[in-house]
Amino acid sequence: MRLAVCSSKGGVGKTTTAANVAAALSRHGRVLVVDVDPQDSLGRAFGVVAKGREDSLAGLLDDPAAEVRTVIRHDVVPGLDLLPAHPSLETTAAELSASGGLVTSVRRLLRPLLGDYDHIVLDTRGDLSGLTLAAVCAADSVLTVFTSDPGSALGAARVAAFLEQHRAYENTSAVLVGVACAVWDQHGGAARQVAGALHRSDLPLLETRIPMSRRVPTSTLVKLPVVLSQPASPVAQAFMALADEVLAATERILP
Amino acid sequence: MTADRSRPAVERPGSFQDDLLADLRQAAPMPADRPVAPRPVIARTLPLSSPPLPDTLPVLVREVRVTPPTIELRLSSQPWSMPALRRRQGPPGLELSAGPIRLALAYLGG
Repeated sequence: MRLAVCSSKGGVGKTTTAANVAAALSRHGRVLVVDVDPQDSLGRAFGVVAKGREDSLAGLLDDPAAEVRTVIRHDVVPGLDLLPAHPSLETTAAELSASGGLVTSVRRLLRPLLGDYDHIVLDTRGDLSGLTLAAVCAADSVLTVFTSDPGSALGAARVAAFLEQHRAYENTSAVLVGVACAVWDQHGGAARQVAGALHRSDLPLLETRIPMSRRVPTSTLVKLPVVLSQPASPVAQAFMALADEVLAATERILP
Repeated sequence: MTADRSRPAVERPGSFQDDLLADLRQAAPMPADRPVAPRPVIARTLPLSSPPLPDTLPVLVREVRVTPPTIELRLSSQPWSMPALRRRQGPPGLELSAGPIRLALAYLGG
């Protein structure tokens, strides 16, 4: 599975979901996580920070002759490799966009690695820009997330429309395999209403809901996703269930 | 400082969930809302003078006769106008205008 985690807005738990789903998937096989967000938050979730442009995805996109395996951080945690981002990715994306190579850039970069990994997880930034499209084009499946904020549900719908549009343009064949609640406030009326509206829509709402938990922000202190730092906690168990559900949905949808 | 009351907020009488669902459907048109493509029909037209067809042809390849239309009725919108009836330009016919509606009836022969 090549999974891009997308949303059209930030602050909805996308990077936390990407990090934890990737960590959970590493129970099933070798995983590469790719940070396609210039804010480089995914690497930080694992305690990895690129030293400079050349040490990151940005450097690889700048120089197609560069050897991608030398930039990848191997076994950041057992079974999981990481390709970090760097703030210069913003400039690199703008340059590639101007030259027309942005959309397929990440897909071209990852092609030689496909045989090395069972799963690749790409984290994107909270928008539907060209850089997000480049990540989606490298993926075969897409996961989007929402919270109790109605705007985040609209963001999920916009991701669905975005994918539909770019499938029509033949930029990508990636499929939206799931819409997941990344911060479930079980006592909040808004959360129930937002989930209810998504349930009544035709979007592929996943059953697993990640409970709101203080363990998630705390996990950043130990530089490990909660799936690894507190594996027995309810929130970690929920992320593991989400990874399994996403994997099952992808296997069901994709040939 | 007082609130600007010149542009009142649009009232949404539905429930929160109904309103959000409507917004979701607007943001990402759902499959049920999409126009359904017409089923392909395999057919050939025959001149009206050709002999009648046997009834033994499979349904999908049944040949159909197409009779050219003889009358065209067209309804369109227009800037508001007083009621008026006049002869149509082009093919013979009549045109009725009333308010925002124009109704054109044309005889195409046949």
